[in-house]
Amino acid sequence: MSRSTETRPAWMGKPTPFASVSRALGIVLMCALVIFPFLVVVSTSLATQTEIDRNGGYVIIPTEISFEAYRQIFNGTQVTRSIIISVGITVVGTLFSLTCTVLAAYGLSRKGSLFQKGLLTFVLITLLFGPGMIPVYLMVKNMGMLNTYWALIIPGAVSAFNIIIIRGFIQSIPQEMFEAARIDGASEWRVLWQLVIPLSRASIAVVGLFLAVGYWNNYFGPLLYLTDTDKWPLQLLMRSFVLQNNISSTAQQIPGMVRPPQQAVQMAFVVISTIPILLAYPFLTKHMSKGMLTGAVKG
Amino acid sequence: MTQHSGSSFGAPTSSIPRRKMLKFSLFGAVGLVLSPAALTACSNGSKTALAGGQEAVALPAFAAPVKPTPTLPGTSDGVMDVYASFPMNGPVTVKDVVGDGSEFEFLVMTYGQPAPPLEENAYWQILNKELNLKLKPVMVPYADFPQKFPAMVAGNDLPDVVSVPVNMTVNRLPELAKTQFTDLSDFISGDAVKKYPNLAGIPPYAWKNGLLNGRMYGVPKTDPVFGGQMYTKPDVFEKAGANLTPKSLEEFEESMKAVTDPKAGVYALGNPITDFILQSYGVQNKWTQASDGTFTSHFESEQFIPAIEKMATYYKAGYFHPDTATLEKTRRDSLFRTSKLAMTYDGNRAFGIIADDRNLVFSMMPSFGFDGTATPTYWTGKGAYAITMLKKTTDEKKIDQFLKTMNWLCAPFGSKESFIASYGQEGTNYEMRDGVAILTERGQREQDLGFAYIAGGPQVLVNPQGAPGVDAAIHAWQTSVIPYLAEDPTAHLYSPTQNSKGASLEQGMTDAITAVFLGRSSSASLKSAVSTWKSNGGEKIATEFAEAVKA
Repeated sequence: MSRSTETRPAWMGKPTPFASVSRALGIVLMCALVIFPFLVVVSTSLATQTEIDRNGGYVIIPTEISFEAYRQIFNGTQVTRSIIISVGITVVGTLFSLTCTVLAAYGLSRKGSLFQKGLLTFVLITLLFGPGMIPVYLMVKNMGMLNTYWALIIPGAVSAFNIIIIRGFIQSIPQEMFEAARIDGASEWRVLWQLVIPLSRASIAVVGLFLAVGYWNNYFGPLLYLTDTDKWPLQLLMRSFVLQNNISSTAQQIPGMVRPPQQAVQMAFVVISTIPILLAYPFLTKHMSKGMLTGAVKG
Repeated sequence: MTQHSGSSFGAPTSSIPRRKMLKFSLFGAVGLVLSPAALTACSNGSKTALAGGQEAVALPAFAAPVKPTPTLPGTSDGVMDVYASFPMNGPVTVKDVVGDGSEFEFLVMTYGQPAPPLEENAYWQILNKELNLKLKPVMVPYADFPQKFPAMVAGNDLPDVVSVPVNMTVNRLPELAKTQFTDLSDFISGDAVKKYPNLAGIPPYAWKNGLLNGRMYGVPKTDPVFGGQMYTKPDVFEKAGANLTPKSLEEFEESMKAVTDPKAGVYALGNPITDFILQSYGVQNKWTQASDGTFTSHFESEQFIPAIEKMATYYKAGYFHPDTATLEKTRRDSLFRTSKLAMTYDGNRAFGIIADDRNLVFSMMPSFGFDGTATPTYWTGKGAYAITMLKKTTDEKKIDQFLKTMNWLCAPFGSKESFIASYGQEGTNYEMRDGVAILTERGQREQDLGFAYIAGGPQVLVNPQGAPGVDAAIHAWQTSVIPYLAEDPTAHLYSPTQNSKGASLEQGMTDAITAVFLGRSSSASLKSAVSTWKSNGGEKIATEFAEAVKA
């Protein structure tokens, strides 16, 4: 072995077969750790009660596929309606929040904006002192938003954290580009629309994804603000299924009917509520990684 | 839902099965589920000396309703009547029109999914028609009730009718009742309740839950007197040649040893049995009241530490499932169903779940003294699942309509009203098979409305779909534990400290018990845990209970 090889850092050298195998095993293990819970969730949702009981509550690979849990869940219009509601809240909420966040971030990133410093301080303070549950509830009530979908969107539409992220990204755009746009006669709106937003796509995508996941997963807002159960989104409905396991306690009274597997129903609901997010991720992965790495190599 | 307010690790918990809630409650007033003490104190509508700073009004007078002849009769001290099925064509108990067509919005804590909307819900529609009301439920999942309820109170958004589960901690409930809800005393106290005959069928011990500040604020939903119980799988015991009815802890341990077979994955138990063991030692139900009026917690009883030590030895011996520390109820039930657990300790509502499974044969272990000679105790519950209150109003017409609605809901078992509330509409909600009404799948889903959770008379055992003999076994078990019934003397007393800090204090004790049970701490640590419990609020709670009695 040459001297230069001896001094070369380990990660720059050619890996030994042992290292390659170890690395491969490590990656497989990591993948298994991620995939296994999903597999169990999907398998259990498709298993029969007998098999679930036999396996002590969870199934890895079902020997007999049963869609009974899904049939139970989609029996009636509740779940379908709640999925539509959740999608609606997520889409409208994300677009509304992104619009507010980008506008606020742009304004706060431009030196010389009216009350820029004061407003920035005001925004930062909200990071330190969050409102309590009851004050927010009272605000929502006094604004006449109780039992409306706006109560799920407006109170949490603007997050100081997201503003800071996008503001930071906008500030990293070279000043010369703004000046060039100005010389070309671009207005503030045009600068924002044709310069800032295209260049900030990655960070906006990341924030958008966070917002969308947040809206999709929100059950507490609907719980507090929606009294009409017809308006419940999927997550609140899922909570009632998963926590309360009521189906099995009732359905077992019907002779001849396959008793809906309690655990399977829970797992089926988890599958249903996870699918939209899983579908959204591949389209955003590119922006996600780019957005996440933004700033990582900056001095 | 915790039956015993989580005071000890292993207190039986069970989610309330909505079906059984309906069945037990709506299958109305039969077995005079009265504890002797309650009967003595209240059956004549006598005034009671409960907390509140003033002499309490008389509880509503009790008048036993007419009931169909049971297959197995209950007793006046708590054993429930058993029926083979719901009698058809029962009498009409409410002849007048109940409502005036107005909206009846009610807040109810639920354990199920929300009911299908009115236009798709035949059960809801028939209730509206029968009551001449527009029922409008505001459903709050049980896990979220502690958050939602205070927000609604703060926002003054409570609907007209509010149902509060008695085991749910509501801060300053007496004060809340005084400011937010209608005092019903003038309408239902003493003989006044006779205007609403079905309400008069609610036993006094259940009414005690509606007595706040010495006044009647709530209509109860009656619960059986039984708390937790040890469910057993006879097949496992039979196979192992074990004794299903041990007479001492020694025999109990022999049975556990016999049924445990780790190679076959069979274990005696999958959850701690603190309450069960404490009861075998004759420990009183949570609190003991001395003749001088002072209160002592069961944590301070002489038998507390030996009982926990004994339970820990069982765990160490390997009679408990290896996952006991983390075994959630769903999985534990699965293991019990498949005979991987020979026993499971659970709340009284659990037999509601399992008694309707034709393939599941189970029994329940009678109480016994720890040494075979000592007298055990059996801890009773509060006697009600929930109380339902009317938002503050002076409009007597509105109060009358509320009480009429409650009266309809409390119609006794066997009546036409209770049948409709339990089964809904023929064809859509239920169908007849061999002369027995069987709920359809749609019928079961539609009953998630929650309306039947809010009030009701004594419950009965009726499980036409259950395994043969199970109802009789439950009846026999209930009969066997009656001599040992022990009421919690603080069940209807109010302590501000218990209200605000009780849950965290109990959790501290639960953690300490768990640590000893699992062998992580020595039993000596329990002494300091009890001291901490006392100094952090336990002593104050005892003092407040004593003051509440004097008040």
